[in-house]
Amino acid sequence: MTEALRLEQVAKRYGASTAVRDATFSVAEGEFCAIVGPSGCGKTTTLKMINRVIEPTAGRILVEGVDAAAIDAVQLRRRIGYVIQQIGLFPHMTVEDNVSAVLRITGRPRAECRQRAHEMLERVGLPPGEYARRRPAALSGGQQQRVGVARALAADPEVILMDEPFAAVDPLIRKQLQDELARIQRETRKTVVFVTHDLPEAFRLADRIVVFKDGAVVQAGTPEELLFAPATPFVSDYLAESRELLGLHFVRARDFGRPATVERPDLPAEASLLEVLRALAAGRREARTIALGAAPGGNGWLLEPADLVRGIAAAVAPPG
Amino acid sequence: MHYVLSNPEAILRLGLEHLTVAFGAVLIALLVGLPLGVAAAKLRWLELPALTVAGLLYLVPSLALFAFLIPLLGLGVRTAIVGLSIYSLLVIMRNVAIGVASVPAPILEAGRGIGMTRRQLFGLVELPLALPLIVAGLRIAAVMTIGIASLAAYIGAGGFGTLIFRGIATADNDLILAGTLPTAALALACDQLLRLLERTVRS
Repeated sequence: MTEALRLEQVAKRYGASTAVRDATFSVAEGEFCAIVGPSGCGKTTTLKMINRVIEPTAGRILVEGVDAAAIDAVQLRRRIGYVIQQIGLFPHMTVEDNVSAVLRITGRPRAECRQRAHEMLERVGLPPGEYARRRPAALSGGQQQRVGVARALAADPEVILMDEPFAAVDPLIRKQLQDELARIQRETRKTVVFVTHDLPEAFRLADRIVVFKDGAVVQAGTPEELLFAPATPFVSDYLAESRELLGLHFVRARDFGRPATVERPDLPAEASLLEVLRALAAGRREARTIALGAAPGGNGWLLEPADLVRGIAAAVAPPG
Repeated sequence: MHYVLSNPEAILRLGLEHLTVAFGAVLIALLVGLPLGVAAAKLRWLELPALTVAGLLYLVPSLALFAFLIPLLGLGVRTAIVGLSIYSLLVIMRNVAIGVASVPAPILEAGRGIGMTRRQLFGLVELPLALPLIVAGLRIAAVMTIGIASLAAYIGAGGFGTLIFRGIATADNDLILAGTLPTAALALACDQLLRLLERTVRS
């Protein structure tokens, strides 16, 4: 697998305070990578250092194998798609001009910009006939965020950075946008780096999750690895105690498992997903498969790691 | 009103003189105020000194200002234009500075993030977004300048002020009104015109 991105001991200090101490991880080409962690852990700063919206104080960032610091920042940013939380659409431009802005600034002909903008709007589910001429203010928050995604795709970059793009939209729309983003990512095989504090979102979308704490990477792994092989107690606690996953308390774990005869149940049959997470955090299990049941040797349910990931992904985070 | 009706050519000539002085003054203020305002918005250290100096100049009474300028530029249109431009400078510079500084940070970040150069960011994002405020400043400056341009007659730059001063000298109320009403009309017309422009750039 080729590496699209590689961060080596990247750090950012502001005077005496340190925003990012040691960001070291890599993202494979075509991979969907989510960066999660408590607020103030440096995840957004790290993302913004990749396209040098924030200049790192130390360390090295390789984009497609090339040292980002060695390329002109403007040229670098034109190769990387960028979606930010506050949407950041240009209010004085039409939707079409917003999307094609990334092409117009590189001097592509108008007709091409226009055609490409329409293709991208189509792709994010906004029929250009209806939306191209509108101003951002005439769109809903969810639609504006779609335009933001369309803009990031327009220049056909290999890597797309997203900073909590769906944090400000309500949960129902958020889920829709996530599904669409997942579809677009599957279709285009873009490398996506996605910062979020919404854990279900990360579990729903990401191939790999990078967990940050106090400005450093604690673990980078697949969702299953985070659950079943947490690098430190912090990771399992973060998952088990996170406010976003409290809703899992109301979700029965067995609904995601398969019926089976259970030799030694780890948890009762009615256990919630949250209880499963907490049991994992407490280390009360031997195999990677979790057994739910009332009594040894009786009927029960078996939960594979992928089932658990699916269960977490199905949860909806409470509004931020 | 009698004078206005019976001397249309004179009114037209004085109107042109009046407009020349006012327009020239606002134009100079714009040419100086635009870069200064942008600089004040960009360079934090420059903002206070620039606005303070412009504010102090604004406080100098216009007649006194003309008196200071006459030894340098002589009597006439030039002195009037330069003198009056100083009053527009504060308003224009302030509005440019506020307009540019008020562009929301996420929008700037988005512009930078998608790979705009500094110049593109300014031309495609900051300036268009600041334009409504800049035009608003221009409007205030223009209306104000048309009013005080009446004083330009005092130093031989002509305009409707000529009639007002002549009317004062001869205690002729009709003549004073003949200078005043067209000045007011000109100011109002200019106000409406720029209001229209403001609305155009806002939408």
